[in-house]
Amino acid sequence: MRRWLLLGVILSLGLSAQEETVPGGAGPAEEAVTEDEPTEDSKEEEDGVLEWPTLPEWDPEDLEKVKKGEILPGQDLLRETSEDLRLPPAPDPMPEEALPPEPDPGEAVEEDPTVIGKRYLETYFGRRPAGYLMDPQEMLSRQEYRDRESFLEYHAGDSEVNLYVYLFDAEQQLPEGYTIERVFADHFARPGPTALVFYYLGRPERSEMLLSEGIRAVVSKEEQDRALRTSIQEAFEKSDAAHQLDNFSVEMSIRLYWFEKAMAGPGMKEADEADILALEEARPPLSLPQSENKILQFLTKSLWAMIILVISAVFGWVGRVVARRRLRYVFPEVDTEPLLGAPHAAGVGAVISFSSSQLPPSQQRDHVPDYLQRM
Amino acid sequence: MVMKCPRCVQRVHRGAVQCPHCGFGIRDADQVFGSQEVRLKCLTDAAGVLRKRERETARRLLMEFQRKFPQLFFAVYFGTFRELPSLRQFGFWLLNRGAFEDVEVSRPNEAGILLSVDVGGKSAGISFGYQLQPFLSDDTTFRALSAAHPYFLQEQYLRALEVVVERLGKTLRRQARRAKRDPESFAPEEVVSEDGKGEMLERIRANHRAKEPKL
Repeated sequence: MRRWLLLGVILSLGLSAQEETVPGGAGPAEEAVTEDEPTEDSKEEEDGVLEWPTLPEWDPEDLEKVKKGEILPGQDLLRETSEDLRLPPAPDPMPEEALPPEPDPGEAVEEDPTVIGKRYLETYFGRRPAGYLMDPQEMLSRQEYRDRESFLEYHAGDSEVNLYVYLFDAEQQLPEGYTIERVFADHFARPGPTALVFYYLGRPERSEMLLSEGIRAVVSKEEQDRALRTSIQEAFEKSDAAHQLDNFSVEMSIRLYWFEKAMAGPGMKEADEADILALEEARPPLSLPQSENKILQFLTKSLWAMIILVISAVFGWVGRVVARRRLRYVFPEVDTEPLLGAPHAAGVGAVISFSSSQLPPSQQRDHVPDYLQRM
Repeated sequence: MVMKCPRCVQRVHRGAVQCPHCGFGIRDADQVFGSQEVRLKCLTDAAGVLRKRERETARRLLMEFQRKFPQLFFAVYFGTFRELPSLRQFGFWLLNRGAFEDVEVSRPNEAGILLSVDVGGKSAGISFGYQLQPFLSDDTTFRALSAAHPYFLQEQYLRALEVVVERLGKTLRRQARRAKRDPESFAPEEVVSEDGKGEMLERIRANHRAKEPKL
């Protein structure tokens, strides 16, 4: 508060001094002319009149800056302390790199936005990229490129699955004969799980992804498509093309992390092409192809099943025989009255003759009363 | 339960002392075959048609039948009855007057089945005790004899015995299961009381008293 009061006093004194010394409204230059008259001042001092301190003088250059608005009078008084005036350290300047050759103005005019320049084809498709982010067309600024490249390097250090991103312009089309599969086969077929992405800057929905064989053996096609789809959705959360690439890369990195978990789960962590080939080479050659081996396994299982079935049937039959042998049949006892005076039995069953082999048993059954027979 | 007279093969109602048709009774049979008790074994080969080994096999077969049916026993008599009037009357008489030495006293003659084979007369008949009257019939015994008929014709008496025992055993197993499921279907008039059972055993024991066999 006191500083504000002091500022007001100084300003009012300054203005009043100007009005008194320069009646015509002139600036400090005219004021200096009046100060060059010491005779009058000395006379006043001599006459005992109060003498004012000398007023500040404007530097012409500062005056011009004030008029232009480059200098705000009293700006230093508004700061808390003079130490706050220290400026933050200046950022490291980007290293000066050799500028790419300027394209021919004629060629630039004729360049189709859907076609990738021929001079970039060798960089894109001629060799395996040195880094994880491929942007030979320099669609990203160097700082943007460095940030995204750093993220992909961080991902590669943290994950088993390396993520390579090829940047293309939004409407660019791959040259005929060049596909992501071909690029993968040409430059990423060496061991190690890898994810290759063709990303179209500003058009994330055009992105393509291809995973190495080891990952595809574990992760279903639906999961792969879901990962790409989710990454695209994440990219659309941003409007800026570079930020879209950020979101896309982060989401894809997360998805690749889960793919890595899926590979490690069923013991397929090492199941990429080279390892599988190495295992197959180390394994002695099988005498039977896989289909015949399956048939042999099926027959073996069937034989075992039949043996078990037969043994079970034999045991069941033996058990049934034993059970039947141990089985006892009991009849309810009945009280009977003697018949024909017989104490124990009067049950008369059938009587059959076997005197003739020509007649059936039914015709040799004895039904004839005894009193009609010879006694 | 249809009761038939051993002589006239006519139906006889329960409790009849004599056949109402021909007047036959146990005394008539006693007059022909003798009134004395007869001691014999389950396998009696009076005709001598079985070899020693066949007799052993036949005994095992009869023992197996007794093991299967703890209340019953099966007896077979091979004889020659050229001078006898009727195989049916003989079976009736033997099952009432016979004392089977190798049969436990807990298995009375009421629970016995007798196969009588007249080797000379070439005929075979089956008799059974009172206890088996609800479970056996003229037809079931005929079917058993019919199954053995080819072996009787070929004089393969052991095999014929095996077939008869097997067939009757099968019939008895079925009847036992039915009796277990539905005892009322066999319409037992009364369940034998402990006292009645004691009297029955007493009669069986009396039959086992030492008497000279007539045959």
